[in-house]
Amino acid sequence: MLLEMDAVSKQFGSTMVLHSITFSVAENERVCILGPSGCGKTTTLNIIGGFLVPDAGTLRLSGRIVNHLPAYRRETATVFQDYALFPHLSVAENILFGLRVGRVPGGEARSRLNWALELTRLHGLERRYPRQLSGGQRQRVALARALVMKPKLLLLDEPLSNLDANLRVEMRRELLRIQRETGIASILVTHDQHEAFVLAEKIVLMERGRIVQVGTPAALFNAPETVFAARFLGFENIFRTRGGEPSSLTLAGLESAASAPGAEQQVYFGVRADRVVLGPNAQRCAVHFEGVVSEVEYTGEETTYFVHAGPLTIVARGSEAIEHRRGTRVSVGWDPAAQWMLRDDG
Amino acid sequence: MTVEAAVSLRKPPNAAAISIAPAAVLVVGAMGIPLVFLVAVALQSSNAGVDAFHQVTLENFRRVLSDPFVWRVFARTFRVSALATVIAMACSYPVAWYLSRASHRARSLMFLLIMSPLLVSILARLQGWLILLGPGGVVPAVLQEIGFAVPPRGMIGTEAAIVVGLVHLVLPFGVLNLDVAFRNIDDTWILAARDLGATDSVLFWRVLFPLSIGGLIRAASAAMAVGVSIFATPALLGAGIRPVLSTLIYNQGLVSINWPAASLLAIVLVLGAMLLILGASWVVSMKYDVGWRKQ
Amino acid sequence: MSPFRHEHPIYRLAAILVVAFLLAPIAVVTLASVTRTSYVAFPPRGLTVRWFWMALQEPNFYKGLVTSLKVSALAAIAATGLGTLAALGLDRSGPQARSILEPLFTLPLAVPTVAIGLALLLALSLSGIGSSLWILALVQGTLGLPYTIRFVSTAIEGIPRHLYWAAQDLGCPPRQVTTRVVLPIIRPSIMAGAAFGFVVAFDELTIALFLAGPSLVTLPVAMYTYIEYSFDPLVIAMATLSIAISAVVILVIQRTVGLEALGR
Repeated sequence: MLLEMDAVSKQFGSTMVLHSITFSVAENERVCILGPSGCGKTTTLNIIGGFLVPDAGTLRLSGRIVNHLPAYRRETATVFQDYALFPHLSVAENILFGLRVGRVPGGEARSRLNWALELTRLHGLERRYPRQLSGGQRQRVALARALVMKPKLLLLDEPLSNLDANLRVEMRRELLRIQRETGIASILVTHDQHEAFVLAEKIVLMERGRIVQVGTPAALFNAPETVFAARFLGFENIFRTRGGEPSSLTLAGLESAASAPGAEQQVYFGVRADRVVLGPNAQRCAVHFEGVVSEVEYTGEETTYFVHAGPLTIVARGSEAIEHRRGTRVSVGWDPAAQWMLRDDG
Repeated sequence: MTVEAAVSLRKPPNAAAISIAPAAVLVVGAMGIPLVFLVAVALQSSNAGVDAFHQVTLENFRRVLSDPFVWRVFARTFRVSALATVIAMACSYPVAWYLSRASHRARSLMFLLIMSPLLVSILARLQGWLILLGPGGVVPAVLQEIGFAVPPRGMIGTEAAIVVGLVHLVLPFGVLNLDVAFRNIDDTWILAARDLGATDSVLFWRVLFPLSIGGLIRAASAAMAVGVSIFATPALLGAGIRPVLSTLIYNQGLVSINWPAASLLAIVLVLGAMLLILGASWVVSMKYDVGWRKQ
Repeated sequence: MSPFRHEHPIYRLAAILVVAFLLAPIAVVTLASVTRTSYVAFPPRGLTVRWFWMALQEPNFYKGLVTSLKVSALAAIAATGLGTLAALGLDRSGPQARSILEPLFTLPLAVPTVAIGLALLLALSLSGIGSSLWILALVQGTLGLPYTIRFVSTAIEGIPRHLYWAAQDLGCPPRQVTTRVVLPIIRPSIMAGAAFGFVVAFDELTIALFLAGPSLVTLPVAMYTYIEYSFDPLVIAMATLSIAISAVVILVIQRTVGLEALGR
């Protein structure tokens, strides 16, 4: 195991920011810490990088406890969200910075520089200064600067957040290519689910300072364990019912999970929008209701329908052109097999 | 491998203290310690001259502070500074308003032009005023045309000349501070006020002026403090005929060599200047934030 | 057009008038220094540059200039060196320390120089130490200290925190971070501070007057004593030369941090 985080906690003032975080990263593994703003993912990354000290728990790198090991002694390299390029140094000098500090001999330094420039496709820009570079170029310099140190673990803090939307997809592919070419172990922090799924083999989902679920992208997508996980990963329909078998549902017994919690035992489940049936066929489903289409969202590739049925809003998705207009009455339903049980996270 | 101390952005406090110490020692040594001597000498008798300390006495205090001439000098010092401050502040308003709304390039140019005189030797500037206000100077000539009686030595040696010199000194501070205040005034507030039917007079007195008071107080206090403290301007433009506190201290100290008197006057000057500066910042922090609301 | 619309020409007029007022004496001195007459004449009658040569050959002025250059250079070094160190230390200090130190470092701006001059004269005479070039340089350096500290502090505050982390992440121990990252980034502000410290000392009259002695006469003191007895194109030419020196300094500051940085 390259990295082992064991019950790490962190407090800022009186606020507990991380609660007993435990996960591990193997050699060559591409991991992503995924979660909404404020969930503690960047704090976790900063602890791994050596900029913050845990208040409890242990952090091990290659078996060695490194809780108090300063950043300048760790074999990690961080790419910051704002890139943190040195404004007074050129691209080449930025990349060579760590090598110069580490007194790497000239020949070796030069060859590593060229390798990094080649890898990140920065040839020709060596003499430019950060203020003369575009956002995407700056990011590549930050990456090159980190990779040239040949770290054991690469840490990336929201690397694509500051880029324009169209650039983001391109850089995402670049990043994946670089990760595969170097084979380096990496931890990427992001709030973007697509980014996480494309760039990582293992996802650590966090919320409010705790780990919610760890698994492969497929596992998370198909089998989220909690209500939060489901919502974050795109289950648009999440319902709660008070006791009873989920299959014997009536409208009366069904509530949207967003409404106030009751005292009795709650059962949560989710239904993916693309498993919801809309129209006359719905009446053949074991669970079905009558409702009114309140809104239709057409993106060209797919159409999303919002159906009001009693107190609920049910979301259905289809790829065809608009079939059901706003304001029409429809039947809506699903098969019990489409119901995915969820745990409440309290 | 030993466990290292936690990494942090802050070096141990010792390093910071070592870094700051030399500068702090310099300030205390150059300013603080001599001021102690000042107090000690002020407590000597006026006959002490340049001798070392005799016994402590308040005779000097009594002598100096009961001299009507000294009080006339205090009055002139205050009068001249106050007048210069008022004129400078009044002139600063339109200029600061222009500056606060000017384009980036115009602002850069204006800053260059307004701040440059501060970096030019004060003696050079004063010589310019000696030429302009002196015998044969442009200003007395113009005044004579208008009908004022002008003495042969021109305006040199009048309080008016000192006021002109002080205004010249203090104007940049006024413009700068008011510019800061005006930059914090959102144009949308003005539009909103107009929307509600504000006339120009209301707009100024009820909106712009109140919002600028913080900057005004800061600028005026700085101007007053400079006005009472500066030596070169009243020395050259007052030509010894119109002593103010700073020139009086100089005379007592280096010409008459009445050190106890000079020391006492210097202490009065220091206290006065400190009072102006501290008093102003207290007033500003108490009542007038930059974002002071209009009624 | 309403008087409160800022495009109203009256504001530009006011600005022009004020700028003219501020620059007038400087322009006048420069023009009056080229007059052929041996008395002060403005506008100048005839054109000549002889006053400049004569001014530099006038022993009092020449010695004054040399002394001023020496003292100001030393003062600038003191103000810049100590000020930069202080600014670096202040950045790493907590709020309580700062609440005492920051007012302390603005003291030289607030205390009237007449009082300081007299106090120094008393202190140096009564203690037997006596005046010296070094002491004058140190004191005038103290006058420049608040400016150098402010310039450098502002620059340090402008350094994003992640740059410190990035440097350490790449293997740089904290002490090297200061030399490899902080100092190069704040260098323009250090230079502006040095230029400012130089000018403050070069133009300073009052304290130099109190500490003056037969071998310690700065240029402002030399000019002041000259003017007390006679006012002629010679001293005006000398003043013009000092304006030229100021112009160089203004250029340095404008190129490094820009004169806007002088605003409070």
